[in-house]
Amino acid sequence: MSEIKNFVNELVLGYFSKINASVHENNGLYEFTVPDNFKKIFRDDVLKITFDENLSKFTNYELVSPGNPILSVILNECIKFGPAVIGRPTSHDLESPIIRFYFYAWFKFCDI
Amino acid sequence: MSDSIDIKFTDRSNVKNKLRKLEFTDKNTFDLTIAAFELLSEMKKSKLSVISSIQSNKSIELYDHQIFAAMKVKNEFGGSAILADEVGLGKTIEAGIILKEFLISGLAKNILILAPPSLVYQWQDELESKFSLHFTQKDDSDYKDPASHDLLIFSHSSAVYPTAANFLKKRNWDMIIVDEAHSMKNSSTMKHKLLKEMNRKFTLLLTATPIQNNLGELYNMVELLKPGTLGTFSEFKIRYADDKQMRTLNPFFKDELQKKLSKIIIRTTRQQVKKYIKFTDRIAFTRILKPTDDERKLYDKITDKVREHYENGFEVLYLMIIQRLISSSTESTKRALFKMKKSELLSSEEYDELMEIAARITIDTKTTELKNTIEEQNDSKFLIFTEWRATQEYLERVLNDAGYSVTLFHGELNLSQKAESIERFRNDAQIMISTSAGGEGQNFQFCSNVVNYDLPWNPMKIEQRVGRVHRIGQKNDVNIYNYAYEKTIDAYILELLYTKIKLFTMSLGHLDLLFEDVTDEKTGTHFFKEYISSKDQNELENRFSTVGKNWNNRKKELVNAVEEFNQEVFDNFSLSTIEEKNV
Repeated sequence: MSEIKNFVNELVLGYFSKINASVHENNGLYEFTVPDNFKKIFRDDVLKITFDENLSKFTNYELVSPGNPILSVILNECIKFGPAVIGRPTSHDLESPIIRFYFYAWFKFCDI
Repeated sequence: MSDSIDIKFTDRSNVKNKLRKLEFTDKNTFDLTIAAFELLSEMKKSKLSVISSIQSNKSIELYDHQIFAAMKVKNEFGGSAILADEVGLGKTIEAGIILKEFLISGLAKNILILAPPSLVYQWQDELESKFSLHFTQKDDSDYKDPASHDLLIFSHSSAVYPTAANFLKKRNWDMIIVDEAHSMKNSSTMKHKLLKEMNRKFTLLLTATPIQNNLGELYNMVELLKPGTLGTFSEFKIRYADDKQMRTLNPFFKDELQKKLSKIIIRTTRQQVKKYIKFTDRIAFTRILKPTDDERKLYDKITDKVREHYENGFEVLYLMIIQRLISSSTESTKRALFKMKKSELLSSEEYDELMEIAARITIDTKTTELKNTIEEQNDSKFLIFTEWRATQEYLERVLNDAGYSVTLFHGELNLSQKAESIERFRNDAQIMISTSAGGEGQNFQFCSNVVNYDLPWNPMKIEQRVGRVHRIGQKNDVNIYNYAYEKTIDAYILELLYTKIKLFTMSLGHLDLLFEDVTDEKTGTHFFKEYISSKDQNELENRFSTVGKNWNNRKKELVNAVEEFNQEVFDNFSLSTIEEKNV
């Protein structure tokens, strides 16, 4: 579970950094000011969140963990970004750039 | 035949096109996408934290599909879903797991449950006994107002009262759970509008029948849950409906609609779980008995007096109670006579004369029949329902005298007395005699014989009674015994209405659709007026037959429509196939 917590923490902070949301952090309590073009998807200007369930119990900061709608929005947004990247490896002496993309497949056993 | 691997690809992120157009993201964004996929994958595997503590409670048995549904709602649906399992698979349990998980994990601090009036007590009791959660409801002594309680149950009808509705709308709810949510399907109703206006983070809509008449109802339900998911109403209509009335689904977009629904609806069918849940039948035995001369005379004479006062404009509800009391037993008839004398509906002479007849009846014909039935079933347990305490006490005396071990259950017992009575019935007593009020919310799967010693005039109450024993965990077919004397109001209701529509074997889902607006007062008064104002037996039979025919036609229409939609919209739509469809 703590592994998931770390995943959530990194993803959420990484996402808000990417969309240039300004962040104010105070002992585990975060306030994100959402940029104008993202206000519609979060339906709010300022998001007050925490990743710590104890802090959430005694404050009005929303707990972001699996099941939380803010996390669902962020997950959907990140997936939409599109998992394809191009780069030039620095550790190898290659002429061509490398395209890396991510995909997943479901495997289903069936009879023919 | 040989095993092979079927590999399907879907390009959810449009990778192929992006590669073709040489559209690339930067490394940080790519890492975020990978992190999102990894987190999703971890979340799918992640178990709920409350399962073991719930399972330690012996009064609850969790099934795989219930745990799986709760996991899906939390880990994949973002805490909001339509739980649309077929009837009897434990949607309440699924909701209970979810709400407890959200409370324990800190995702929710306040929760509102909206349930039909007849199920409010049942919800409160199940959450207390199975999930150790105390929810407050309006009738509790400690209830203040909707703003003062974090865990609250409200009936659909009480919630729409202006004062309550204002309180409910002002509050920011973490989670709102709506039971029998199909009653909110119509967007012009107050119930629908209220829910739409209430602030909340998570919504659970529970219904076995998300569509009854047309696809618009499904749209309205989804709008309550996640507005905009299916576009605007006209976009939805143009794309997914094949006719103006929206009664058929456009086959070209069926898969697309199912895919969208698979992200908000969870539906498990009985077929899917039959490997681990045994479903048993309900078998109804209706006995219309010939009363003794004294029983006949007593019933007819009092009915004549009731009719006389009805024609003179006396209060209908009061007279209806008298009629119901005299339909139950001789003991309850004596109470009726006492009431009539007190309210001057009978003179002293009339009272004495009728009490004299009652005194001659030492044992009711129904009781003799009941004893025979119990005898035939050897040592099987019996749950006997009556509406009246007088009948309950009388039956206790007679059955005790006959050597049976009997325990009573009624609304006047306190919580520990109720628990004691249930334990006694489970372990020692062969028979429990319960009033309807006392029996709500209790589960008696260890018993498979239900007796309706007298008849509730609200068809939903029959289900509440039978539902105590015929639920998940029942291992035998359930026998339902109904008794009435010929040519009494109970006999007409039994023969011409309840038996005609096969009420005793109808599923809760269908019953609920057919009688969604029915209240005790509404049906009771209706039956009573039909009975008491009929000039002769022919007219009486005709009136009841007409009601029966109307019910039957409506039932057929509903059953057909619901089954047709279930096939069209939910065919191949299940927990096990959702995954494949997303591929």
